[in-house]
Amino acid sequence: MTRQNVTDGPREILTRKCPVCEGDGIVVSDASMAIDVERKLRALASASRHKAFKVAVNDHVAGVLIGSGATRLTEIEAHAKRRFVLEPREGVPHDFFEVLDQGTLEKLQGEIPVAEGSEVQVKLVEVGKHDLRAGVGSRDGYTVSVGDAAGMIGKTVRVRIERFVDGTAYATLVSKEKPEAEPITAEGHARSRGG
Amino acid sequence: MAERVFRHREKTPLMDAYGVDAEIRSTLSRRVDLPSGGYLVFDYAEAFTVIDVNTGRFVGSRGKGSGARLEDTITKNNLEAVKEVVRQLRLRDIGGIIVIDFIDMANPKNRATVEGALKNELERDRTKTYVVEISPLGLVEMTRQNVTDGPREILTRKCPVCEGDGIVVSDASMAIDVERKLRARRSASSR
Repeated sequence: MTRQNVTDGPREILTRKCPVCEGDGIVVSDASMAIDVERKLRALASASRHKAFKVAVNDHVAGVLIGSGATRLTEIEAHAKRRFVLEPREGVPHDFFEVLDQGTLEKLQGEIPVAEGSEVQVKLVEVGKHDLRAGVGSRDGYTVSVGDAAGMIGKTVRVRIERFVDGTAYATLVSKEKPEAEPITAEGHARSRGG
Repeated sequence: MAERVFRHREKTPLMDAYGVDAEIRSTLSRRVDLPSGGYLVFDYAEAFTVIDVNTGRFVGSRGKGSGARLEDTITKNNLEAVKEVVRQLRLRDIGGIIVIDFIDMANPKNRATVEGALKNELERDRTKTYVVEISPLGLVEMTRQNVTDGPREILTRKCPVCEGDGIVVSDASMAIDVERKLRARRSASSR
């Protein structure tokens, strides 16, 4: 059917196009946005001689980008032969990407409670808020998120601190054999598929 | 096949160098441009997907006596739209009921041409499709069986700000809301 309208309806009068999705009603998912950010980080690394970069991104996207136990972040860094000090920000747009500083890792990272690579004991008390595969505990005032340890809540495990991001330590289990790492980065995924 | 494969050694990522990324992203956009200036708009409604065909700047002169020429231009635009619609249906893997709003054509012969072209083009689509004839309002109803999730399902999520509506309350209406809240606060505290 057709209907000739004479005036603007309430939708025209009371609303405006959503400024975030431009009226589409959808936004790119965190996972796709993390792939975008990953590409931007690679581009940043290949265009500069600096060894480390401090980059602010949306907190949800950062969660995906860091990966369980920082496995994705460390893989990206290994590929780029650079270090990326991420600064997750709440409430910024999804595609937020701002290079805050560049230089040496020591300068950008500041002081951290324990050196990356060191092994510590931690009691896991809950499942990760953003990463359901992670087990989370705390030590000396900082949070430790242990990748692939969601099934070990309640236990005290020995872990290796991989990365500190925004005051949280991302760690991997060392107490027993690590489960086979799942492909997480776009490239890792392609590689594991291509054989 | 093996001899066709070679390693990409350039600095620009593979997906950028060959425009794959841009092509994938284009399937997320509501608007798709046609070669001669017309464009399509995709709207995903709950009941079905609507594809609106527009002429854009692709219109001949609208002066008197140019009626026949205008009809020709419109038909040509619709035929371009047919090709792109079918391409997008496959790229986006849109399933369920689909309604295409072609631009009105006065001549029944032209309607038949566009309808024929659509059926013809859909033969290339390997999934099952079913087209009903053009309705008196110039709408084509069709169904398409999709097998997989399309890029829209895979790459996106509902907008967290408007909850998928695509609209938010305007600043002016929101200001009225706030004004009422301020009044309510004042009358509550003066008691």
